[in-house]
Amino acid sequence: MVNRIIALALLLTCAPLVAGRAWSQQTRRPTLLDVASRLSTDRVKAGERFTVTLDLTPAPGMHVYAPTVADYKPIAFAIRPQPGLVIGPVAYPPAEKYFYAPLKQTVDVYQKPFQVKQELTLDSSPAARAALQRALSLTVQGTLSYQACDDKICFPPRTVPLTWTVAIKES
Amino acid sequence: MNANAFRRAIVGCLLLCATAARVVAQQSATTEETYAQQMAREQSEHPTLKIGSPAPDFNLIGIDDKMHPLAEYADAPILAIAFISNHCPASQLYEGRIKQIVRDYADKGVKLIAIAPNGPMAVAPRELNYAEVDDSFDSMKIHAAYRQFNFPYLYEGDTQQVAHRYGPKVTPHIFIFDRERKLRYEGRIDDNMRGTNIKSNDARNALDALVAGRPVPVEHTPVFGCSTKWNSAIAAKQKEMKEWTAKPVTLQTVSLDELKKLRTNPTGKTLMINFWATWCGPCQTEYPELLTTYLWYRSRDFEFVSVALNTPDEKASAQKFLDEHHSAIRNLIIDTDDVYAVQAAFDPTWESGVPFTLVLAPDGHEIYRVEGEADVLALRRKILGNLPDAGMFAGNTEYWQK
Repeated sequence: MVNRIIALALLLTCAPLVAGRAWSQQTRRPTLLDVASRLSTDRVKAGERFTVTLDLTPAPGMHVYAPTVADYKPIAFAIRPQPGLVIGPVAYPPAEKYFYAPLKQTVDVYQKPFQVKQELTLDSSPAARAALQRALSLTVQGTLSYQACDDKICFPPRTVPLTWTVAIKES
Repeated sequence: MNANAFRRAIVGCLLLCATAARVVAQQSATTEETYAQQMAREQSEHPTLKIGSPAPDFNLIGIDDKMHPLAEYADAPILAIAFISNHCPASQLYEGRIKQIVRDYADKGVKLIAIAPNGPMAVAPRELNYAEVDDSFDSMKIHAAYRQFNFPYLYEGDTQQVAHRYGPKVTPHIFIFDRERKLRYEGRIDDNMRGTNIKSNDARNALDALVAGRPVPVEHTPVFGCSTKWNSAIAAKQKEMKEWTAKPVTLQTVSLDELKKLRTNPTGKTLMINFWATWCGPCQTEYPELLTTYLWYRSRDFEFVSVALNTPDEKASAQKFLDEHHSAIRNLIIDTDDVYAVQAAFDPTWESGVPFTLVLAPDGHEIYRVEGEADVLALRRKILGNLPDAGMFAGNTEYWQK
């Protein structure tokens, strides 16, 4: 049990793709959206809620599409379901209206830095407790998908894998 | 000029034009009518102003957006009116010589203006196969700015009333008036379209004579170029578009290997490849202009292939877009969800943005490349500067390389 008390350092591995403005080695891909993330806590116990926050910054001049768009690829943040984890709703901020004059279209986008939040709960059900009985930590995995454009160019949809590890406190 | 001389001149013109018929026939109004028949019919419908006639009055809008009446040029001892057009390769080849005439005769009392007589809607897409823009008023501004015209360029394509009074048979066709604004010369600018080995500088000869106060040695010469596009032929010109819209629009799946082969340009022609996607606004903006480019140049050695970077499950939406734009070309869609793998396989230097347009020469070397929305004018000029000359219009490739 002592081991369970030992706090594990929060391992944020927001994937190498998301940091900085480097170019991918496989293909020459410019960075379109800076992605940083954090958890609201580094330890949770059964029944506790915690939040994943993504701090997202579109590259200058670029926009990504809001969840409300139909004809373009909307941003989507998804946590992979797993035993012991209750996944709440994702909260996206209100979108900006972007008028694309050549097509006379008004589209919901994000052009400025914005946050996406995902509420999670460490499941307190007997089954979950049993599943996590010997676990010291929980690895949470998710993906962020988005598609970015400016007024002259678009880039194919991208999916960024994200992983966090949170220590599990004794109840 | 007496009636016989006039008749001889007309016949001469028709003979000369007939030699050019193989090429210029592409510029003709209908396939049912030969070029010579067309010229004869148009001559009867829009007879050319006779030598000695007064200059018909006009008040036309210029590319400076101002109205320009004939009276504006009253102070000029000699007035030359050149009927030219944006699209006509012959007219294009004479632009440099017209500008030189302006420079050479500016101090000799000669004012030169140009009038675009063509009805923009009367020019069929196929007749724009040497053009970067059509013959509309807005396009005149673009073309004149690009070619740095040093003379007023007036538009007459809507009513063609002025053109009808002057009766230019082709572009270019020049009319030179004396101080009293009597017509003293009409015809070609010189006898060699390409500008090499000119044996008879007809317009300059007329100007020199008028400047010197001498009789014009030859008052009429046969013209050659592209027939004037009269609005009465609009219905016939729409035939080509009807044929085009009757073609089916297909969308075929393409593998990575096939795309790699496409990159080498196996067509034997100049090949434009455009990668696009339904989720790409700039792609949708640009696409109609690329299709138009193909419609214009398809009578030459030019091909256009579109590649949708939509995933296979999005094929229906890609097809819908192509249908809406009637993209009756070779349309392809990738056969994988991994768009980035497609891009890397097709061209490792591609930074993944779309639209992505590549123009390849018949030997596969890259003529033009743009990631993002293309500058369609620059694209067309590049293509035109690389398409081989076609007989009569030899020198046009070089014209577009300048």
